[in-house]
This record gives sequence, C-alpha cells and structure tokens, in this order.
Amino acid sequence: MTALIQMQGISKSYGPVHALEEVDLTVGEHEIIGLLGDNGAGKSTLIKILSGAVPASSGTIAIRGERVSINSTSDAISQGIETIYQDSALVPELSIARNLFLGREPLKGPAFLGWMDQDAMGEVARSLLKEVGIEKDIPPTTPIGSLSGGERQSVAIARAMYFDSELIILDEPTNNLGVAETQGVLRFVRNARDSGHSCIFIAHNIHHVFQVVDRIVVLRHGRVVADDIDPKQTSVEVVERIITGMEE
Amino acid sequence: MPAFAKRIVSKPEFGPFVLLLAMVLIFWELNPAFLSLRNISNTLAFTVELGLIALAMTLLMTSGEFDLSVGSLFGFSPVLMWTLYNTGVASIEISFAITLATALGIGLISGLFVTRLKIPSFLVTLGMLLVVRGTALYVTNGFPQRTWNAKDLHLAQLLVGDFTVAGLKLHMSLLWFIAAAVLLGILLTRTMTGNWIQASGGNANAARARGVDVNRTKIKLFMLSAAMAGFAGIISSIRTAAANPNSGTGYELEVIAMVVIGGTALTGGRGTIVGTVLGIFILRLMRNGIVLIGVPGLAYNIFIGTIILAMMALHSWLDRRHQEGS
Amino acid sequence: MLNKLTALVIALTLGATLFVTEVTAKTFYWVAHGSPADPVWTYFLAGAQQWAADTGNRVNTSFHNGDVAAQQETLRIAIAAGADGIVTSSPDPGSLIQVTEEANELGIPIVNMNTPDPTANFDAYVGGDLIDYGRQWAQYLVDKKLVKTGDFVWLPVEVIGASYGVLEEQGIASVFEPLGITWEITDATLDQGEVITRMVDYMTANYDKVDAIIGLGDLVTGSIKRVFDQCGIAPGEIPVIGWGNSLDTTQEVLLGYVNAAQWQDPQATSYMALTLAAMASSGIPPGFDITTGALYEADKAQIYDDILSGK
Repeated sequence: MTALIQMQGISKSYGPVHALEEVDLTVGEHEIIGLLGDNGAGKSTLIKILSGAVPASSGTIAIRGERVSINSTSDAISQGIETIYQDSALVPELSIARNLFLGREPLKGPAFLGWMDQDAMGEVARSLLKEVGIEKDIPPTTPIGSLSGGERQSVAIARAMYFDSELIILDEPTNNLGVAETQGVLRFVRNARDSGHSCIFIAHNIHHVFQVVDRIVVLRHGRVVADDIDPKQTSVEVVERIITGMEE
Repeated sequence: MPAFAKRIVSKPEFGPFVLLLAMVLIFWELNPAFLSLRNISNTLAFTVELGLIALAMTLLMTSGEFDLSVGSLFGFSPVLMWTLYNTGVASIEISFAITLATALGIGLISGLFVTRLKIPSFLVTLGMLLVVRGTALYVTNGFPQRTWNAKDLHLAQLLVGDFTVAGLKLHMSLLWFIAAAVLLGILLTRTMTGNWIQASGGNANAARARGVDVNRTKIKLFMLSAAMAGFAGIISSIRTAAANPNSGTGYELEVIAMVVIGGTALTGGRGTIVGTVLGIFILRLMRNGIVLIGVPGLAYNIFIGTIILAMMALHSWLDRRHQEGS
Repeated sequence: MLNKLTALVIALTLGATLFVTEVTAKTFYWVAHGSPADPVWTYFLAGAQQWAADTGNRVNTSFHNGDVAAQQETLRIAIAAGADGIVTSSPDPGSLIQVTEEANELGIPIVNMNTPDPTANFDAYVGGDLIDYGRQWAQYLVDKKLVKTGDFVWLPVEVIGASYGVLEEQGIASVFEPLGITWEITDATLDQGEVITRMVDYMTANYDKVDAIIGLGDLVTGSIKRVFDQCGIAPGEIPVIGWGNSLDTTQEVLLGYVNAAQWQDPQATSYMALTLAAMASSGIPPGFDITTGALYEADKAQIYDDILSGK
C-alpha cells in the first residue's frame, strides 16, 4: 500500500514541555488507523498538527510522497484533510444545508456577488441525509441543532466524504453518544473507508476502536510505542497494557 | 393551525410585527393625527437615520459583537465634515469622503482590538465611544458647526433632499435606508458572506475549522457599523441644520434595543434585517405616539423598557415552543 | 316633581359645562431642551403645570436632554397634531428656523422661552437676555473690584456649546476682553454626581490660578458649596456669581459661598410664555417680548429661597 500520509520526525514543544518527540506516523490508502494513548500521550497534539490548528516545532509531512506545509485549517482542508471534532464543528443555529457548505458555499452568478446556490445546497443536503440513514423527512433548512448528537456527527462525516477528503480525522466522535448512535457512526466510518477515504480514529473507548480500525498506533509520553497492531490478532487487554506501559 | 401558519407564527419577526400593528392601531385610535401625512413624513425623516445604524448593528450582532461607539461617531462625523468644509480646507465632497474614510478607520481599529487583542467588543467600543466623543468636544470646544448653507449643495440634495409624493414629504435618506435594508438583508440571507457572519456568531470555532476567516469578517462589520453611523450623522446634520458634537448621545443603546426587539439574538448566530426594520419602527413610533397623546416625556423610558422586556419574554417563549415542536 | 326638575336642570347644566369646557379646552405643547434632572427645569415645569391647572387647558410637556434632532422631531409632531400653541426653548442657535417656519405656515403660535434665538421667526420671546446676563455678571465682578486686569476667571458650564453658555460667554467676553482678563470654560455634564466630581478635580488642580468663578448654569452654580467644602475652600475666599434658580444657590448666597445670583423666574417664564401662546391662538398677536430676571444678593436671597421652598 502506498502511503497516503507520511509524518516524519514530528516534534512539538510548549516551552519545556515536550508534547511530541520524533513521532513517525504513516497512513495508507483506504486505511483506518486507530490512534490510542492515555491522557497526555500526545494524541490531540498530533491531530492538531495534521489538521492545521497548531504548527509542529519540527518534522515533515508528506502527502503521497510530496512534502506539504500545513499552516492553517484552510491549508489542511485544501490538502484534503478533514477533521471531525467532538462538537462536529457545526453551527447549531444554521441550517443543515448551510452547515454542510460552510466555507465552501456553491455560488451562482458572478463570483464577486457571493450569491449562494441554495437549491443545489438543499439537494445535496437531502441526499446526504438519506445516506447517513436519517429516515425522517427533515427539510435541509432546519437548524442543525435540532438533530440528535449522533445524527449531527454522521452529517459531519458525510460532509467530509462529500468534499472528497483524502483523510478524515475523527477526534473522539462517539464520546457523548448513546449505543445506537455510536453504532451508526462506526458504520459510517467503515463506509467512508470503503468509498476510498482513509481515517484516523481517536477514542477513549478501546472497544469502539477495535470494531472499526485496520491498524492501531499507540502513543505514550509523546512517543510512538507501537504502530503495527492488528486488532484481529490481539486483545483489548494487551493493548491496554501497551498504553499504560505495564508491558515493559 | 395549518402548517404554513405555524411557520409564520414561529418566526422571530412575528411578535414584533403584531406589536407594531397593535401600536399603530392604538395610537391612531387615541389621536387620528397619528396617521396624518405630516406625522408620517416627520416620523420617516428621523427614523431612517437611526435605522441606518440599526441595520449595520444587526449584522455585527449576528456575528457575535457589539459596537457601543455608534452614537459618538454619529456626533463626531458631521463635526469633522463641516469643520473641514467651513474652514475651507476641502470641498464638501472631499470632506465627505475624508469623514467616511475616518469612520472606516475607526471601525478598523475597533475590529483589530477585538480580533487581534481578543478584548471583548463591549469594552473596546466603550473605550472608543469615549475617545471619539472626547475628540469631537475637544476639537470644537463644544461649539456646534454651522450647516445652514448646506441646502444648496449638490451633496446635501443627494443625501437628504426632500421631494413630495402624493402629498407626503419624503427625504432622499428614506431611499438610502430602503436600499441599505434591501442590500444588507440579501447579504445576510442569500450570500456566502451572510453565511459566514451567522457562523461567526453561532460557533466561531466551527467556522474557523471550516476555513472561514472569522476575524476578517468581523473587522469588516465593525468598519461597516462605524461608516454607517458616520453616514447617518452626516445626513442628520444636514436635515436638522445642526452639527452638534453632543448629538447622538445614547443612540447606541436605542439602536441595540431596536435590533433585539426585532428578533436578532443578543448572543449572535441569528439575525434578521426584517425584524430590525420592525424594531426600528416600534421604538420610534412609540416615541412619536407618546408625544402625540400627551404622556409626560419623563415616562417614555418606562414604556421602552417595558416593550424590551415584553419582547424578550415573547422571543424566549416562541423559541421554546419551536424547540418543543421539533 | 320639583326635585326631579331640579335634578334635570342640574344635570343639563353640568352637561353643558362639560361640553363648553371640552370645546374651549385647548392643547398646548411645552417643549424643553433641558434635562429633567436639572433642578431649574423642575421649576419651569411647575409653572407650566400651574398654568394648565389655572386655565383648564391641556399642556403636553417633554424634555430632550440637549438632543437637537429629537427636539425638532417633537416640535414637528406637535405641529402635525394641530397644537393650539407651542412653547419651546432653543437648544442651539439656528436649530429651530425650519420648524418655526412650518408652524408659521400653519398659523400655529410658537413662543420662545428661556433660551432665545432671534434668528428663528418666533411669535414672541419670554425670558432673560443671556448676553446681557453675562455682561452683568462680568461687570459685577469688575465694579465690586473682585477681579482686575490680568486675572483668570473660571466658567464652568453643564453642556459645552449649548445656546445659554454660548450667549453668556459673549456677554462676559465683551467686558473681560478689553480689560485683559482671561477665562476658561469647562464642561461638567448634566449629572449632579458627575458635576461635583469634575468641578472638584478642576479646583484642586487650578486653585492657585482661579481668581473668580462665574457659573454659567444652575446646576454648576448650585454645586459650589459642595465643591468648596470638599476642596477646603472657605466661603467668600473666591468670588462667585452666576445662575441662581435653585435652593442650592439661594442657600449658597445666604451662607456667603456665592456673592450674587441670577433669578430667571422659571415659573413665571413658563406661565407667561403659555399665556402669550394662548393669547395668540385666540387671535391677539403678541407684539412684544417679556423680559424676566433679577440679580439678587444675600439681602434678597431669602425671598427666592421662600418661593423655591414653597413649591
């Protein structure tokens, strides 16, 4: 498998605190990586660097072999890296359609007017809602705040897929969700991989990770301590020990 | 209730609309002169000046910020323009341009303080209010600038010249107001920029995560607010033949009240130009009606405060019903 | 039967009186540029209310805190409502030219009270001559040898740029300039608390400089005692003259803090202005102005103190 994303030697320091030290991470095509580690291991920092929210102190990132520099969230998005946050980066008062296209509104007429093509937006929204499994007939002009947490997360993932992102990063997406909704999201993540997107999945709940990922990477104290774990060939207890360092 | 009626009732503009209608009917009943041509044209004249500021404030508040310096800019701008003109430094057109540019600059500074230094807009614009007002007073020594000879100038005619339509005396400023209302309304509801404005106020982090330049959006709105306040002040100075450095005192709160009564959320994320237009008329007609029916002017604030509270309660009730419904 | 007849007659008479009162009761608008928090306006308002009670006419009152645009709007509302007469003070020289024209066109009497504006076409003016007051105050200080060439006089005022201060300063300048006496105007706002704070700050900073004080408004002159006490200045240490339409000032004159104060007769001003307006509305044009005002010292201060306390 060719490497979609290759992070090499990534380090990040906040003053005397070394959040990450010489981290190498590879994500292949059509691959779901589970990124695990205890609190303070550096998972969030690594993700923030990849999504453009925070710059690395040193190290390189390459996409399909080519070096790229990611200095802002719009850089990351234009490189095809989408991040799904816990609150889904959605604006509750805005409609589903507007949320979907926030920052990338389709326009009609002369560009300088900025006139949104709301019909097109509505159609896409409708079809995405169906894809995501929302059976009820919700008009795309409904504020997204009226959807449930799981539905919102699914819409956020559908958004990432719609915009042809290469890599979808999911940062604790199932944290506040109920059982059924969690299953919905996990199913959707698998769909994403099957449709050609790669994912990095971070979760506290190792069982969720086991259900979905192809490969597990473990961070501890800012370093990679394991990056080749196949969930089908190991158990949750083993991985837990790696995370906490009891294995040594 | 049929579905479309339900939709109309749950819109935030519905409450203000009903209130406005009720007010008009009650005042007309108490004194028929309320709907006389003369009174209507008088109301329209002053209302649109505050209205222009309220329109810009709507957008700014939707993005989650306030501008308390609008009243000061309203007073300062005509003072600057007329000083430049009366002392022969520049022609009226150039003075006008310089004044608007200055207002834009002041808005830019406010915007930078808020977005770069991360100081709440409430505080930044409060400081700006004092600086601008103080400058106006200091520079003029408190003396108003003369504008009586304004009527003959082309610019004056363009901005605020009056004309009569079917017995109703109207000012050009009304047309400017209508144009601004339509443009800004479309901007907010139909354009990409409007989407960004709402997102910036609703969840700025989400907007940033999607690549929206929240800071730039807000800075532009601060500049719009300042320029609009200056523009309104200039129009007022021509129409009332007075460029007094004290004028505009207290307007910022009246304007914010208009916006909030109309249904724009105080916390940002949801804004309505239509609602603001209703709010503008509600507040101004209340004042007009009160004078007409002879309520002591000292009681005016009681009415305004009551209306604001009642509208807030109504909006909150409608919101809750709307949530329960879905 | 006689009882019933009597009752009927009484009822009819009452009815007729009511009808007659309805028909003859007129509506006047009394429009003030000042602030309701300013003590002098309370007395102006009292005069207007007394007039309404005495004549049975309706007087609609309003205050505008110096907001010119709002005052013009109110006057236009009064005109639109077909007022029988309007009485108004002027917030700014020249600001009411347009409005008075509109009233003239419709034949609505409009009388100027308190702050004069001769450039506007009012039916009459009732009040003092502000330029003359300023002149008198300045002359008083000179005549009583309380100031001399080279001295510095402080002129506190509530709102800078408003008519009254502007005109008074003109009068003062006409006396002081030729004598080489200098002065400075500072503003104190219309809020009592703020007024004291600002005046105390100024006196603390400029105590050595100030040779005399002329209070250009009632609020500032009425605050002298509190300011002096807070600054530790003894009554009479610095000569003071100025407006004196409040109990604060009459007391100050009696106690020696203020040398002389100007009584503008606020109630009478309102009362007479409304009377002239009513007279004009009945078809008798007023061909004259009414001038009010008297400068009082400690010997006469009690009279005005009583008037003010009586209300």
